[in-house]
Amino acid sequence: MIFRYMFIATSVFLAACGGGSQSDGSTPAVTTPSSGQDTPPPVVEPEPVPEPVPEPNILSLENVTVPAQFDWSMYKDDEVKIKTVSTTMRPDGALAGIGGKHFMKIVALDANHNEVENPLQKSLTDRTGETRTKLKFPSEWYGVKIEVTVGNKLCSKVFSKDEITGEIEVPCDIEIPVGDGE
Amino acid sequence: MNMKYSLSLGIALVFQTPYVFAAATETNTVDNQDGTFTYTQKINKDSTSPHYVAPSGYGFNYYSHSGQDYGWQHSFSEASNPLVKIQSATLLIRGFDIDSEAFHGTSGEYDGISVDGNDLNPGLLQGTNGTWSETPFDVPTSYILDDGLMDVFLDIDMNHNYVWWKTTLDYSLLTITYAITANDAPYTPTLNGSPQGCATANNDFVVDVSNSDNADPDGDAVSYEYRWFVDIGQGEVVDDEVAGKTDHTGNTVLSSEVNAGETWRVQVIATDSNGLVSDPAFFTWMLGENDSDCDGINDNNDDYPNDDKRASNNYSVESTLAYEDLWPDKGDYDLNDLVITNRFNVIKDANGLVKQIDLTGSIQARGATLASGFAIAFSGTTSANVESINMAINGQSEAVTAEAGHSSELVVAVLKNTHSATNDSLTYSFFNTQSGDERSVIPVTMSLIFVEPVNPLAIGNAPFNPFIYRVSDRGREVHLPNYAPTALANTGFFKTGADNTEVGGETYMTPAGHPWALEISTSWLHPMESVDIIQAYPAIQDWAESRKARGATWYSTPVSGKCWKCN
Repeated sequence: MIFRYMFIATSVFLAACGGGSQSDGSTPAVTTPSSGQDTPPPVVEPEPVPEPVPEPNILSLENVTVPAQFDWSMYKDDEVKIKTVSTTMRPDGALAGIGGKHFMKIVALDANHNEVENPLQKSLTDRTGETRTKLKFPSEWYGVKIEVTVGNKLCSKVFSKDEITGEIEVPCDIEIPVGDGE
Repeated sequence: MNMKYSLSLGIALVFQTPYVFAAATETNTVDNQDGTFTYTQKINKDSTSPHYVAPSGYGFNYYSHSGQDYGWQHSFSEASNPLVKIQSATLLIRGFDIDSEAFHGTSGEYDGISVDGNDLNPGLLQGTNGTWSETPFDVPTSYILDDGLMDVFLDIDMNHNYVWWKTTLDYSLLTITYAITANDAPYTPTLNGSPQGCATANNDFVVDVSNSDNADPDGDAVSYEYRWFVDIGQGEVVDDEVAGKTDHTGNTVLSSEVNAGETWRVQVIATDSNGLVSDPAFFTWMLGENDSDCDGINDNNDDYPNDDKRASNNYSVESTLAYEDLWPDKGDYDLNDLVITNRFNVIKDANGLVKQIDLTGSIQARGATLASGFAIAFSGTTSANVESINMAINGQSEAVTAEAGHSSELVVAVLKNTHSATNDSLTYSFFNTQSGDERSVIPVTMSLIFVEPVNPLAIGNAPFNPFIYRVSDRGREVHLPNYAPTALANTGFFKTGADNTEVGGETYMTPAGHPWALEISTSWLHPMESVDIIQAYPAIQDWAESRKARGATWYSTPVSGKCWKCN
């Protein structure tokens, strides 16, 4: 008897686990003609066999063919180095970085390029005018706008999400006096 | 004095003439005939290993720029003698064309010097364009006496990478005057600065030594030497006279000397009646300029203008976490065993480090019979760094502690039992997953404050590493795909049932790549009980099978009647 109760309890438990429950699947009772009947049974036309209704090919997530290394993330989530640069060209052809700790604000732009109300990040750059950060926002959004305040000057640049990778530069129209180290 | 060190002293007295190590470094010890000795060591272009290995094309005697930083090593072998006590220790660096004039502002050439990884004061070499200059640094005695080695590093143009800022060093001269005595050096001064905290240009700066009544382990009389530094906009402090100020040598700087936006620092060294010196102590004043808490962020941009430990609110985008709880066995993919919305405010200080994390969320559904807990793992910090954790579930507040058993990360159980918060109905055994069950979501808040702010790159982005675990079996954790298990996870479940977790590789997915949990990047109406997510949101198939090329907003196109409140 105890095994029977365990079976019932286990069945209920498994049905409830994970919210997964099978359909009741109740079956109608079978009726049998009583013996000794005089009336011949009626001729029963066979019911037409219905055309099988095609089952949808996909009924469960487990039938989805998942590409290799698919991560199920719905976000753009990358580490990036952001540099504040001036309009002064270095001898090696790169733009000169603007040293000093600058206030930087990073605002996400939604799919319609509208600024999302609360900035993703607000902080000071390091003393070299750079910051390294991980930016995360929904992958269907457009990108970000980065604003940097250098002294009294506000500089900004918009980056699409595809541009936010590795090292990106926010240019500021500030001329750096070239030193005379040579 | 024991025999060993008597012998050592004897040897030192016999060999007072200049001597040179195997390396071509000028090293000399002079007996001052007053019981003290003066040791000097000069390192330059001719020095060799272990003191200096000349880089190719730069280094001493070469014009070198920001990409050509280099280092050298001073040594003081007498440091191993515990009776050697230091009366003074200076590092003097001679260089040419040190363009650190203050008028350059933050654009100037600033060459930082560190010893054993610690920045010295002043914070940069001091000198002018086209001239030779010498910058003296007081070297803390502890840097010398710990192992007798001082690794010095020159960071040229430390604030930029301007190739036009170049400098040439002639030599680095270490000078140590010491005595061999059983007498001990004074204690490091304990400083009280006035005003405390954020200063204004109307304040006189005064520093007092609070341990002057117990300043020396031998009870010797002690005097104090003051050296003042100021940053007037260069980003690093220099000697006050170098910055065009008065050369202050007392314990006070008058308000007439200071300006808004400056940073002032005083160095105090105690000297006892035997001439032995302590390690230096420092006190720093920052003068805000439209910056009430002097954290460096203008009040207009500061979300916490009167709190120097906090500067900015950084909000994550609201998301929905949806879990299956039968791991490692397959569930029914209704992704509603726990559905919890979340939005985090990561509160950072002025340096961008994380001081506090606030969670605002809600339990939206619990379509499970199994009782689960919901927790978040934070990498880059541990429970030892927690100042406080406060939680509120459905308005009921409680202070909680971090979960024990994690030594390399911090884990906070936000919900210890999802059932206890969601079992208020006699009609519905689940919560908000059955037809007609449309109860209000249950608000959840958490506020986590760190003692020391945490590197945001180490702690990662919200929602960090959220997971559920079985209340009756703590080791059975369910994480988002490719998130790591915690130290309390029972890894014996890996690769059992339907799981294909590879430690160090893909985690919490089946061999076919199906997950047990998803983070949906917005608020979301979860599938009804036993309704597979693919039936409620068919577009997820195309999204997954196209490798996200299509169907990016699959979560916004539900099938009517298949998900909660989407009839």
